[in-house]
Amino acid sequence: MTAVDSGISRRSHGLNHRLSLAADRQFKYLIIAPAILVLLLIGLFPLIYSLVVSFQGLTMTEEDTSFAGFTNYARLFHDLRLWQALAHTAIITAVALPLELLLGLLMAQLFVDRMPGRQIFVALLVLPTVISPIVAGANWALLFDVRFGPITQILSFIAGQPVTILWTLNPYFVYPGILICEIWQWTPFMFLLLLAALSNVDQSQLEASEIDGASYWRKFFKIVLPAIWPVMTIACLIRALDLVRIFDIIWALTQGGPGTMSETISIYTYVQGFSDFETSYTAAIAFLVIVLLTAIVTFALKRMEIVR
Amino acid sequence: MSVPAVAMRRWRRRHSWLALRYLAAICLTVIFLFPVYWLFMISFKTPDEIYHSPPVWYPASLQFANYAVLFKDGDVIAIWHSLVLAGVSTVLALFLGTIAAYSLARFRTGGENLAVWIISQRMIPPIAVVFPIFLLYVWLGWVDSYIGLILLYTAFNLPYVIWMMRGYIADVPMELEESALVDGCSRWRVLWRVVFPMVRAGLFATAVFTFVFAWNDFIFALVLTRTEVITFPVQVTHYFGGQSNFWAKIAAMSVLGTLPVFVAVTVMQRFLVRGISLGAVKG
Amino acid sequence: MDVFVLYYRKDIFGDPQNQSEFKAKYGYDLAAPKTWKQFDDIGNFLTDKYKPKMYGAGFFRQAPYAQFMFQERFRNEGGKFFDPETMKATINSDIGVKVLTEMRDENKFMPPGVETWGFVENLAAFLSGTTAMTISWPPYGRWAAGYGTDEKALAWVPKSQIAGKVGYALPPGGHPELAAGFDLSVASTSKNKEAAYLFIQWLNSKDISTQRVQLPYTLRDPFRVSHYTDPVYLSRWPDAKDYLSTLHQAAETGLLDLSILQTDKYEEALRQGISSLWAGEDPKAIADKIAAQWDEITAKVGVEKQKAAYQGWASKSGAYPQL
Repeated sequence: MTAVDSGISRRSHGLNHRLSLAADRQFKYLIIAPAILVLLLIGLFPLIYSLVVSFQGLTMTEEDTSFAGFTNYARLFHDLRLWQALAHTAIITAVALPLELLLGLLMAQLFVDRMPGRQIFVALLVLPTVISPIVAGANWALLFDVRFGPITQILSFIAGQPVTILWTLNPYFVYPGILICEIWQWTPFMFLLLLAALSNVDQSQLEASEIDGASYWRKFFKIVLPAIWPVMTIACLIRALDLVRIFDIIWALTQGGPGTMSETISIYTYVQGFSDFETSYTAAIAFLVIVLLTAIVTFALKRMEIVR
Repeated sequence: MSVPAVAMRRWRRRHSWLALRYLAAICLTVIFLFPVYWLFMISFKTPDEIYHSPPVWYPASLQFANYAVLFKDGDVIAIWHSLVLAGVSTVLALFLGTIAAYSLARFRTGGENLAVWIISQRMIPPIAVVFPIFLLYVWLGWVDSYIGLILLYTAFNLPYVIWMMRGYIADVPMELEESALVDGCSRWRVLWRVVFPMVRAGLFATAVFTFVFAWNDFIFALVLTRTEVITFPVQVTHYFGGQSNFWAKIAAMSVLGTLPVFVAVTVMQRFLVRGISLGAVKG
Repeated sequence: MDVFVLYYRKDIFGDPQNQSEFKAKYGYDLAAPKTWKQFDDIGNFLTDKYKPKMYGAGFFRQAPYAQFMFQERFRNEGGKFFDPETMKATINSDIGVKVLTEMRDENKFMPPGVETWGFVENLAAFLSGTTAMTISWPPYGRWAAGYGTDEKALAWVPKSQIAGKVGYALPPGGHPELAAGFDLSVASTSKNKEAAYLFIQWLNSKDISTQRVQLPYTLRDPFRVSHYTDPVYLSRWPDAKDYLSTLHQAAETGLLDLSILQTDKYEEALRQGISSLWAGEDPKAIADKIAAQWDEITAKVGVEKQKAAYQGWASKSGAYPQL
């Protein structure tokens, strides 16, 4: 751009500037409108419906649609099993998330540079996420089986003597079993997302710092990490929300057992809704979960700048 | 030190690093794929081999009959239905979601509150809303229809797409867009010609899992379909009996179900190649 | 009748060496156990002698199935579910604790991992000859004899290695669990009610039903008295005679599943209790917990309503055994 050009454009810039601001405003609402519309269409009614139902006394067997006030919500606070379920959910989330993140990051770092056959490796490694969670859970139940599963066989071979671990019943092994299955299935999620993020890291910056003699860790913390930070935090957020809703794997492995030891909030909601038929109470639980999660997410977002 | 010696040393270091990477890659693949291998093998076993102690690592003969039965009985149509539903909803969600994400990332539309509201859609336990959505769909006449589930999956994946793409877009330096604008491009052109190509890698990664989430949905497909549009997960759960699981069918169907995504991921990987977008800013 | 039958390896039991060794050790003849004490003795004896190739017994100890076995055994030992006057749960009586403890101890002589066994795992173990005794519903008997397992629809059933070696008896205690059973009914919105009803009548008529229960893939067990003496059925496999007569006996002495208001909630509490039992918790604590949960459920349903329902069920002759 020559000096003359920039002079002309600066003068007409004032008018253009005001016009483009208006156009911008129109644009930014226009492009987000369709998405919001779809979300409202599908999402609004269920939310209102659930809210209304949570204030009633509905069960699947008794149609008591009278206003029951806050009884369902009051019941939430006395329900020990509910808070235990929340605790179980918190434990699983707190353990699985960091492990998946770390492992996914390491794997992404491993594959980010070119290597022959990388395409096949990456495609293969994504497979665990594609398997339906119900099938994955049932498959792992079979893998863990003492008589029909290879894991016991392998462990016995390593230990040199027959090993009998009841992964779905032994209180010490129930959570490890669930976590192994969960981490196996969802680390590839982190892996692929972080691979895409790492691919976008500015190569020229990295090369420049290498010439300047920066060590690996310096490069990582000063260049790579800030670059992948937005994607990484969002991936963690998504993963965390999904971990809170974990259901299929645990249902296939332990059905929330033994006793209620591995009962997470989703399983408890299911039991209340489809086994005990407590429709209104289920709605109240759902709202409690939404409120808690919204609070946690808002708090977490304030502390981590997602979009820098 | 002489130049050839330095080059030699660097060559050796790079190749020993490559060899190490290969070793790690193979170890990882073996560990992660072992359960998949097991499932794959089950689809070729006889019932005696599935419930055999000690476990059978490789069946005596490959029972292709397990697969043949799925084709003969017409169960495989479920895979087609799922492909259509997941595919269309993914494209829709990607498009609507990415442009929405652009609005959030560059203009901060609605501030953090809108963004949090969007992601709060993902906090709702599906079990709690499946019944009201069923009622809504009965009223709209969308039960057991393609359009019903396509819109549903789009709606449920939009928050994911919007948030992920917001992050990937944030990665893209604004200078590119600004220079395009100054050059006289309209906002739409900038979005289409500059931004979309820059976030190809992120788009691809997001697309994979948007597809997977729609593909694997069970509870909504179960409630909102009858006979016209049966999806893959619902079909598979038919094989989980009250007294026994028809493992042969479960495994065979699951293997068939992993093929579309596997093919797609292999084919679209060129978007992940490093270095695709760089240099554009400096040059 | 979908009733529990004790299946045992009559070749192992009939082996003269086993018989003399057993008599020497325990003082009575080796035969199908009539009490749970005898069952434990035989189980331990066989496991000590034959493991790890074969074990004395195996059950589907998975909680949903095990709770049926608990219900049956508890009543055979004289336990009652509730106090009929107050509707308080009496499942944590000494009998309840005893049954829980014995069930847990029995697992020791069963193959490792038996606590996770479901229907098919137990079946596979028995059919492959890994366990010498088991208790299950009638289909095991047919499949063990190899009847019908060549059918495509039954391709998921493991092949029997023990055809011809299976004996049938009533489970210890003599009063087996009689599962809820299957019904055929006509939908109230049906457009062809009469035709539907006539069809059901036809299905259950003497001739047709006899044929039906012999179809390998219907999972229908004999249920009319005439089924037990039908000459065609009797000719299906050499031991069919014993099989049918055992089923007939079982049908006459069987115990009905508990059926009151919201029974599944009570059974859910039992299921959880049993899975806790396998996880190593103390039987007394578990029994008390189940009783407490049962009282809670009764309170929510309404004590008077539940009392009426319970008395209606308990007054049936098949509810509790006449001991």
